[in-house]
Formats: sequence, structure tokens, C-alpha cells
Amino acid sequence: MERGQVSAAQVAVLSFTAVTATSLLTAPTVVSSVVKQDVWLSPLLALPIGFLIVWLIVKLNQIYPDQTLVQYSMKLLGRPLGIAVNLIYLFFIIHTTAYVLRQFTDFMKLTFLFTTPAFVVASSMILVCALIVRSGVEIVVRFPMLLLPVVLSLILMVYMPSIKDINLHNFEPVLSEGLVAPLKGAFRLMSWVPVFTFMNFYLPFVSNKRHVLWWAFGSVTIFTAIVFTTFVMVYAIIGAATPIYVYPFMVLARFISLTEFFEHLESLVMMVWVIVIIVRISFGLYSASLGLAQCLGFPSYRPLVLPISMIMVLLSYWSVSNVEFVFSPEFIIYYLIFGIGLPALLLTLSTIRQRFSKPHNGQDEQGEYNV
Amino acid sequence: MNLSKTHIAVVTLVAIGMLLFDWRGLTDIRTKIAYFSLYIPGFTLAILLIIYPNLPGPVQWMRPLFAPLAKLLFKS
Repeated sequence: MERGQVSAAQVAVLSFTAVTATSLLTAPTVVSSVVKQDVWLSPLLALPIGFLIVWLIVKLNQIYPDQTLVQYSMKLLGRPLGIAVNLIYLFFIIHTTAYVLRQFTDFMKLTFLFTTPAFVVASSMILVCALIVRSGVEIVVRFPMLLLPVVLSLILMVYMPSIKDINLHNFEPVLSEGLVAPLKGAFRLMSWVPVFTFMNFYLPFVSNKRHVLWWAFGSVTIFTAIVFTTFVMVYAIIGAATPIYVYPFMVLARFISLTEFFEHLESLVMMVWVIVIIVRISFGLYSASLGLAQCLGFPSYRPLVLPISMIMVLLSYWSVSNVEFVFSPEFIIYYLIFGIGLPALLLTLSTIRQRFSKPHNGQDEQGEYNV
Repeated sequence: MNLSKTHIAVVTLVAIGMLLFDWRGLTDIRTKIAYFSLYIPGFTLAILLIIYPNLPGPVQWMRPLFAPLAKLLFKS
């Protein structure tokens, strides 16, 4: 339905920027409230899960190279059941993206725009993302590539001046409570890692398919590295007080006073946050609208973008007083069911189908998939 | 009361603007049906949320759905 040529590297950059988005600010609080001084271990423990998710998605894409998860789940589960599962899956995408939008509006209202109505902040954000998404897959995928140097240099501008304040004694005693606490922290991180599954909507447009798996693994590794560095920096500087703050990264930026000239660097944090959140929301919005259009068999996904973004703004406010519940175990299980459960089920089904299908039948299917 | 009237007016204006922006793209009858089946519930929900801000939503239904599984995971 849509033709576009993007490279594996661009998809990798898009996905790790999108997943890093909300984790940069809120993850240190969420994880360190359970793990205390072993906080640096949790991202490393979450790394294998990220690899598993990405491997499942790339493997499924190798079996059905020109299809997204929505299309091959209809093929594997049968049409009626497939459509039902797809609609729930698309609701999951819209719902989780809506909470990212809510986190963004809350952050803006708490730190910078105190008197602006939240509706205005949310709608102007979603309008930018809707315009990006309507421009097509290439814009969505290349936009983070364009802004990556800006994001990285701004993050470094926060990290570099804080190096002198690092106190590594904050991490002692190492593993005083055993591995259980870091594992719980890694479980908390699962409210970010399953977002890598949205990659399946972009993989059909990749032109150099041979390198996809390595780029995808690299994407997860870079995400882990960024989260690991953030945890180390935040905990080494703020220490045991980290769980008290809602946005420890912000505190870090306010803390900086280099030669009495570099001060008030929190505006840099806001710039990074806005850019990264735009990437994250357009990542989800494009997935949801393309998925819905493919699920119902429409020629173009573009007319669906604005109604879906309207529903996102509404879902971000509907009966939600604050977004802390996103990190509760119930909600993380919801993430994991769609992030790992659904791709794993589909991969199992397709393996069974390949194993037990007759040889001539298999050839037929091959011809059908290589469009 | 006055405030919520302003809010309803703004939301209606935004909704009309959205419809005008998308109108030329809606050539296919099936796309039209899908568009309006997203648009009309969305608009209704927006108005309802302005009038009753504490309407119970998907989060309240989801919590009890996943709570047993979460308890099971955290006990073992």
C-alpha cells in the first residue's frame, strides 16, 4: 500500500530514540525506588529481553518480508480471529502512545508552562506528530536521523559538566540484597522495552534486509547503553535521594553550575525531551494508523491519522489523574503480553505451519509472499 | 459553567477544522465509514469528558483484568 525505501540503520536509530524517549527522564525514579544502589544492573538484565523481542520481530519479518504484524497475524490466525486480535493490538499501541503524550503534558505543566491549559500542549504536540506521519514513512524514519546529533550533543552537554560531581561510593554495597532486587528493577524497565515491537511496521520498507538483525541488536544495545549511563550518572550524583524526585535528570541539569557561566541547563533537557517525544509519538501514531488501514484493507492510511490522534489526546485524559500507574505490575504485564507474547505466538504458529504444510503448498505460499 | 462552554466551543472548532482538512482525502466510501466511526465516538467522548471529567475509563477496567496475574508473579 505504501512504497518507501529506508535503510536498516535509519530504522534502528528511530527505534532506539523512540524507546529512550520517556525512559531518560522517569526511568531512574521508577527503577531506583525498588533497586536502591544496584540500579546500574537493571538495564543490563533487561538487555536479553530486548534482544529476544527484536529477534522475534526480525525473524517474523524474514518469513513474511513484505508484511507487517497486522497482515501476517490475519494470515496465521485466520481472518475473523486475526482482525479481533489486531484491533486489540492496535488499541494497545494507541493506548500506550497516549500515556507517553500524557507524560509529556504533565512534564510541561509541572516544569515550564504552568498556566497553559493541558489540552493546548497535548493538541499542539499531536498536531506536529500527525503532520509528520501524514508525510509518509520516509519522513517518520529519517526525522530522528536528522535530529540525532542535536539530541546526543545536548545530552552530552548535561553529562559532561556533571562528571566532576560523581561519587562512586554511592553504589556501595554492591548486591547487598542479592539479585532479586535488580531483577525487579529490570521488570520495571519492561514498560519501555516492549515498544521495540512497533518496529515491525517499518521493517517491510527496509531496502537492505541482510543487515536488519544486526542493526536491530545494535539498536537495543544503544538503548541499554544510554539508560545505563543515565542511571549511573543520576545515582552517582543524587544518590539515595533519587526515588524522591519525579524527574531526576532534570535535577541533574539544574545542579550544574560550571564556572558560574553554564547555568540553568534545564532548558536543554526540555529541548531534548520535546524532540525525542515527537519521535516516540510519531513512531506509535504511524504504526497505529498504518496497522488500522491494513487491518481493514484501505488503500491509504492518511485519512485515519487525525481521528486516531484525536482519540490519543482523549485517552491520555480519560480517567487518568496521574501517569504513575504505567509502572505498576498490572500495566507492565499488559505491555509484555503484546510485546513478547503476541510475536512469540505468531512465530510458533508460522513454524508449525511451515513444518506441517505439504511441499507444493509451501511453494504456493512462497510465491504469494514474494510480491 | 462558563468555562466548560468555552471548552466545548473550542473542541467543536478543532473538530470542524479536522473535518475540513481531511474532507478531500475521503474519496472511498469504506474509508468514509471508518473515518466517521472513529471521528463521531471521539467527538462525543471529548464533549462527555468536558461535562463529566471523572468518567471511568479503560484504566479502571484494565486493573482488575491483570491484577491476578501480577499477584501470582510477585508472590513466587
